[in-house]
Amino acid sequence: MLTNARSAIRRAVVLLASVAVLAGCAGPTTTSLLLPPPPGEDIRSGLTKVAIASGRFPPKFEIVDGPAKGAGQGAARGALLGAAYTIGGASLAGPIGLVASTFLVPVGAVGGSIVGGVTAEPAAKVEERVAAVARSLSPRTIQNDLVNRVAETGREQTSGAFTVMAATSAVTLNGRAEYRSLVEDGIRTVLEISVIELALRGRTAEIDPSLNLAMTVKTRLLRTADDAELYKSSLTYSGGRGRTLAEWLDDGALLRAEIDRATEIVAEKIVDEVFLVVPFPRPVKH
Amino acid sequence: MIRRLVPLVFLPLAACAAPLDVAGLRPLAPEPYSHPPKLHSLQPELRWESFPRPTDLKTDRSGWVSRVRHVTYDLRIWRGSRDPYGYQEVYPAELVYSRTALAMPEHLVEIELAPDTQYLWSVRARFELDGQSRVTPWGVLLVPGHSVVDDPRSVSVPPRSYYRFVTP
Repeated sequence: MLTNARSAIRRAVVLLASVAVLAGCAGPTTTSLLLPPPPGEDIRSGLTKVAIASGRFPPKFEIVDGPAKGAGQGAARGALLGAAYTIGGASLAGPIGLVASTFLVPVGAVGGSIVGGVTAEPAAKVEERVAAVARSLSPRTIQNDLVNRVAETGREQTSGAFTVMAATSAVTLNGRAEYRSLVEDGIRTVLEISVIELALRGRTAEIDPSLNLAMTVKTRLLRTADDAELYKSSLTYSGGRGRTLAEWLDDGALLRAEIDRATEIVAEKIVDEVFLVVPFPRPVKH
Repeated sequence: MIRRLVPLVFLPLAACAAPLDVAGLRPLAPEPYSHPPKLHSLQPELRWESFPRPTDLKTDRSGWVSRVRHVTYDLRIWRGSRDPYGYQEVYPAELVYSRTALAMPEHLVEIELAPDTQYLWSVRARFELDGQSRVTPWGVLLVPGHSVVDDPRSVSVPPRSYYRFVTP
């Protein structure tokens, strides 16, 4: 029964979060929630020799809806959780339970605030853990691992020739890369892949929530002759198994393994979208 | 009064019992229901639509489907785990089985899967188009009232709405 109540509350939280994201109140760095159509065959016919460039900046790292910082925040979240669990539990008892819950909500809220206030860790300790996780990530490695993985997958899955560009091989002008010099090497297209954000995301209102890895990656396909943008998209990996901030920090190998999994899934999706996938023909609507 | 309540009760039940729509090659066995079907074997035989489907040929205005050659199929099976965000309550946690270039739209799983476990699976066609290797999108369920996250073209990966079954 408690599981059902938790499930109901979780669904409500997810629904509210989805509405917030869709309304533009919060959420991902992506501008669209759906992928653009894959490049057409006219573009793909020119993808026989592709250079892959990685982002030349460290991805933003943040904790979204992480642990409560200090007794005050813990008490506030605990009060909300206590009230929500009281309503969720009472609603399982039907209309009478719902009526009763109006009287029990304050009790649940007070109980929750006490538990939250006692169990929340001091703000300084939480901040130190966030900083420690950020320090454990190597931004350069994350960017390089992804481009190498895309090149590897591209070679396995397509007949194209993939070259990973050294970070210094392209001209940088006003913060943007230029690839026109590659024309001389016979490279007509560059696939630019940048991990722009890494995050550990929790659920709002929990005191020490389970955090899941999110990795947002931007992809651009550019024509080297004139730097024209042929295709661009943004993908976000959302991890499955969550852990508390302390658990992620205690075992660095777990976070590394999860980033590797994200890299593998995102790389395969990029290769699929840019080089391989042909959408089914759409029925004509009358 | 009771007569009016009958459709209210039975129509939703009938909707639950009807197979779901899918985006991609449709599973023929096991069929796609909102509740994952319980199988009778730890080595299930999976079957799906062949490609191109009659509807692909019929709706192909640009004519690329008629140029498709050498069709094979890719199959993947993942162990499912609870989705922390509860979108579909199941997440493709671990890829446990993968086959590429299957000649027929069916496959007898060659390993024993774990008992009493929910799995997600999907298929796609792999083919040649004008001499180049191409694939169709991986098949996913279209769950009624699904969120944008479950859209087959969602920017969020991996998809949560792959086909499902539960082992005995």
